[in-house]
Amino acid sequence: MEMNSVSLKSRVSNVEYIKKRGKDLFIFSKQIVVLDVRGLYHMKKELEKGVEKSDEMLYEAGRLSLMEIHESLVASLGDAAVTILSDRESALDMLVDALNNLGLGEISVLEFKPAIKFAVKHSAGAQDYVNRKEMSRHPVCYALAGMFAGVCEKLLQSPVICKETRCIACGNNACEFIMNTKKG
Amino acid sequence: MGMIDKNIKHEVIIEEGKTTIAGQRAMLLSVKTIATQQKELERLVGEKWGHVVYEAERKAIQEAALQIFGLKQLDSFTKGKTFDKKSMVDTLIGIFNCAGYGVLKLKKFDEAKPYVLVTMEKSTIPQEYEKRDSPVCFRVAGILAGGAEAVFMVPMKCKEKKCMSMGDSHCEFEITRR
Repeated sequence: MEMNSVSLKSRVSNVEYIKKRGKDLFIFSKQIVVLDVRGLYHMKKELEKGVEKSDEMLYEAGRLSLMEIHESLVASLGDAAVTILSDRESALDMLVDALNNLGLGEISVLEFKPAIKFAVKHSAGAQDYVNRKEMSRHPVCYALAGMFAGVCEKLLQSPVICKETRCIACGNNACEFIMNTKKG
Repeated sequence: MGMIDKNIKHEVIIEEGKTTIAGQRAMLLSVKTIATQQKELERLVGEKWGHVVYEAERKAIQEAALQIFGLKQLDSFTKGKTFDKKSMVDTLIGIFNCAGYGVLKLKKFDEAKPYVLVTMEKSTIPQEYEKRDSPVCFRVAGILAGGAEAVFMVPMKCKEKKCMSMGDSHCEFEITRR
């Protein structure tokens, strides 16, 4: 069956990220499932009931998922991948563009140098705190932080740590993330 | 008897970076990502992982389904308004079948008990697992339990009786009162 676009085009490269086959959705030929964002809030609450290091798990799962998206992107670009992805700023724009189609929030790059910083409005991982008028003492977007770490690791070809410095769950207007090089 | 809104859009809509299904905010993750997250959780907490995923989805989807049907409070049914529950179940199955987990089919429905038996063919998440001796579709089971709670307005539970990860030809879920 022919794949139809869901009318999404990247402002960077005209790549159509999300495609539809029958009722099923795909990103770079990988099948997608749809999750209600409330599930992230409830997942965090369930994990808080006694699962140690759950934040690290969510971070790592986010990081690994981005690795997979990146590999799929490279495969979909084919021979052009090396050229397109060699310009790191353009490559970052492209990956952010792809992420902006996943309903994670409205993601933008705040800075590229000296450190990469991201801003996210209406973060899927934190929006329910706002909706429920619940204030968190700490940022809560661990999966998103992991994804950004994955983006930057692929881009910079070196391990990084992503830290969320502002979060709407803590009362900030938007979530912000900064990337630091991993030492040791 | 109250009518279910026939205009509920089942499919996923992606517009200007906002993703919704049946009017509810959603996010999209690859099947492999979901499986990776589940395996990480299993590595971290062992058998308890299924309960964590199940409960998170049950609570999320109960809230979502209530909103889809325009019911803001759990006691809406006690205020003189009743709905065709079979029609509600059909609506939720229609929405579910646009979400990429597999193809759900209603096999048994008993409003009085209440009791629902559904099968899921072409299940996507089990395909990311090696064959094992326990089911893996806790996320789907939680979704079904949460949806059933919004329909029947009583606490419900869902148990996966067959799973493709165990070598079955399809997955099967039994939804009963909790």
